Order: sequence, then structure tokens, then C-alpha cells
Amino acid sequence: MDQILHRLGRAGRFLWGGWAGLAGLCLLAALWQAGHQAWGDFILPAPLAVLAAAVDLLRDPASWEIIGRTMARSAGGFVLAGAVGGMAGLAAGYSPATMRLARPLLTVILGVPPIAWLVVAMIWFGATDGMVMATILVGVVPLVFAGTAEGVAGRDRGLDAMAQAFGAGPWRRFWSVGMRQMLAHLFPALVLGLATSVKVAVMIEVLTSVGGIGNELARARQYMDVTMALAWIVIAVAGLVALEYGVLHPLRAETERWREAARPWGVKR
Amino acid sequence: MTDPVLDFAPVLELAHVTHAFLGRDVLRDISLAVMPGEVVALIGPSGCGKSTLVHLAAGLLEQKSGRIARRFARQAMVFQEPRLMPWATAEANIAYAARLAGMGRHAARDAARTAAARVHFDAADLGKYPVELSGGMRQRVAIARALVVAPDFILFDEPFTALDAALKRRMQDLVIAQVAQASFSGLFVTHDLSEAARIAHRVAVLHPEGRGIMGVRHLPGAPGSRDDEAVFALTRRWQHEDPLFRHIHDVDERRIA
Repeated sequence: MDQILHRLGRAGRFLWGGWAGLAGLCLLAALWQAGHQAWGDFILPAPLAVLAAAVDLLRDPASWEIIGRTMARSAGGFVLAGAVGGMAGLAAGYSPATMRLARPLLTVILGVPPIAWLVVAMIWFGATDGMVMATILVGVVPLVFAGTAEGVAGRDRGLDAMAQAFGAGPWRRFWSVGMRQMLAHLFPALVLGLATSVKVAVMIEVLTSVGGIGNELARARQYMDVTMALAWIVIAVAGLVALEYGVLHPLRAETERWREAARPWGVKR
Repeated sequence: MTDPVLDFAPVLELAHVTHAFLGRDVLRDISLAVMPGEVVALIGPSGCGKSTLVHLAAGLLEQKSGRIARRFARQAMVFQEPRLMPWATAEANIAYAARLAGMGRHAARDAARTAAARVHFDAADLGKYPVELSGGMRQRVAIARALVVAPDFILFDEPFTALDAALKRRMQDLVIAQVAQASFSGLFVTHDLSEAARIAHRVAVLHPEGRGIMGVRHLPGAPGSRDDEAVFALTRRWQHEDPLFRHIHDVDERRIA
């Protein structure tokens, strides 16, 4: 009973924190409105008009299919990148030799802009989902890799020794001690990786004609329809926010309850 | 305890143990035995390799040569820092060791509560995270974690160095009471002579540069029976009359690195 109440309390606090987010969004809308009044309807349509256009789009089932395509691609690429980057990161974290080999590779991969990978991926895969995922993979794997490797390499070895002294084998030590410390580093990387996945997916869709939100953006550009372009952007961002605050943040809060306990009374956010 | 022959065999025996770190010998030719029901205090100046020795005994490090015989069923360890998992509550931290010892979830939780009570850790604080506990309470949790698995051997690696004098004393009393009650053996590393004089049956002195155990002194009476005067007299005699303890307060920072 106590646990349920405690959980409800935390959920309530999380939702209550939404007011601050809403206030931030309202501030953005106010600036936007000011821009609209300064430059006129053609350059910057009013936020309410854009919102109405977005709602209109969402009423149409065909739009949902378009959104679904983009989200499926970015989710697929993100999950794949998470698996590959996570595995490689674990290997590098536990083996300094691998880490040393991987670091220059990482620098090279991060140094090449995603758009360059896109050209190569288009030649290799053609205009398919595989091409989108491959590009996302190249963009997101280094992020997840670095987060995981950092988390493992920076773990508290004292806790490892403690677990070993009490008879924990290597696997048990990883599951009970290493994993938890790694997650703390991994979550920020995952949040960033998710955002990158969606952005890269949309970018590819704008540049190639594989459908999805990006394709609609490209069409809006052809018709010089700023309202439509902004409406699609709003939808893409809303999707990302929903994923981040609906899935990643609650997951994170679950594993990091103790951090909240560490905050002094009255500073709980 | 049924076999009289086993009773006289040491529970922990190190024979000519050498340990090297990055090609340099840190410990050389260490021979030491701990008998059943006995607490041996291992003392030596800072950086002489005491900590390395207790890590070897715990199996956390591999010796370069020599033999370590561990004739106990279950070991536990209390470190210099509490080494609690920050993401787990006090109760979960204690239960963790019980889980590692093969207990089920509920059994481990019950055992954790019992162990917490044994070290006078307030049951109301069991749901708190380590960050919410004071230093003394954290070390109490660490001791409870060592006791929860009902070990027959506990390794102490300067467990109370970071605590203030009054707290240190209470923690020592706790260990003394637990040894008398639960009859486990222990190796207690410390650089504090009066701590050794209060807590141990025997005191072993490590060479300042880790070249063997220089000597062993038996202490009169059981650990709990020595009052402050006896402890003071013992440490005074060690420091002023006993050549074995001559280098005990030498500090050579270079060797700590």
C-alpha cells in the first residue's frame, strides 16, 4: 500500500513538472507570435494557425500512415543502433585494448557528416528503408557506443570488488553492479540518439523520395506552403517529445530513484 | 566444531605468499595463520601492503607465488569505505549479500532486517538510500551486510579509519560483541594500535616494506574483557618497550602509490 502511494506520488510529481514544460512552450509560442506579427503571414504563420493545420493533418488517416513510416524507420534504426552500439560499448568498456582501437575509429566516423553517409547508403541500398536505417545507424551508434563504454569504464571498481568478496561471479557482477552504473551514462546518450534518429530520418526523407514526414516537407517547400511545413515540423517534434517523456524518462526515473532521494528537501523537481 | 583435529587447523593460512604489482614485489614471503574463533589484527605503517594482504586473503587478488588455504565455508568483508550500492536502499544493500549467498528474495529481506537489528540499525531507516545516511550509519549497514550471510570468516580492511573517535569505539564494541556471539574468525587490518588492542586475540606486525610478518603478539584475555586501562597499558608497552612495534608509525608516502 505504502509502495503504491509512493509510486502515485512520484507519478503525480512527474506530471506536475509538466507545467514548467508547458510554460516554456508558451514562451516559445509568444516569441513566435511576435515574429508572425512583425513579418506577416507568408514568412511566419501564426502559431495557432499552424496548430490548427497540424490538427487537421492528424484528423486525416493518411497522415498517420506517413507519420507511422517515419517513426517506424527511426525506431528501427534507433533500436538497431542501440543494440550494436551497446554491445560494442560493453566490449570496449571491459577491454582497454578494444577501447584504444575504437577511439580513432569513432573520431573518423563522427567526423563524416550524415549527409555524406547518405550518398553512399543510397548507392548501396537504393531508396529503401534499409538506406534510412543504415544512415541512422552510422549517426547513432557512436553516441550509444561512447555512452556505454564510458559508463562501463567509469564504474566504481570498489563495488565490483565488494560483490566479488561476497562471492559474485563475473556475470552476476555485471547484472547487479556494472549494469546499473552503465545505465546512468547510457540514458543521456539514448535520449540524444533517439532525437538524432528522428532528425536523420526526416532529413533523408526530404532529400530522397521514400515517403514519410520529410517527403511532405519537401512538397510543402515546392508549394511554398510555410504553414504546412511548420505543421509537419510540429507533428515530428511532438512525436519525439511523446517518445522521450512517455518512454525514456519514466524508464530513467525508475532506475534513478535514489538520485531523487539525494536532493535536499524542497529542490525536488 | 565436532572434529577436534579440525578445530586446531587454521581457518586461514598463508604460506610464503608473494605478490607483485607491475613487476615490483609488494609483499614477499608472508606466512600467517588465523585459528577458528580467533580475530587476528594485522598492523603495520601506512603503505606497507596491509590492504593488499587482506585483498589476497579475500581472493580479490591472485598471489604471484605461495599458497593460501581458506578452510571456511563463507567469507564476508568490510571495507575501508562502506561500498554500498547508491541505487539500493539500506535494506536492499544488506539483502544483496544474502542473495549472493543463495537466499530467496523474502528470506534475504528477513535476514537483512535481522542483521540490521544486530548492529542496532534503526528499522525505520532501512528504506533510505545510502546518500540519506550518515557515515556511521553507512558503515553500520556495511557491517550488517557482512553479518547477514552468517559467515565463518570476516575480513576487515581498516573499516573504521574514517569515523570519529566515539563512533569508532561503538563500532569496535559491535564487532567484539558479534565475534563473541556468532563465533566467526577474522582478519582485522588496522594501523591503530589501540584498536588492535581492543579487538584482537593476536596481533601480527607486517614489515614496513612488506617483507614478511615480523612477529606476532598474543594478547591477554578475551577481546571484550580488556578495559581502557589494559588497552592503554598494552599500547604503551608496545610503543616504548617492544622492538617489534618500532616502525609502526613510520610513514613513507612513496610506497602507497
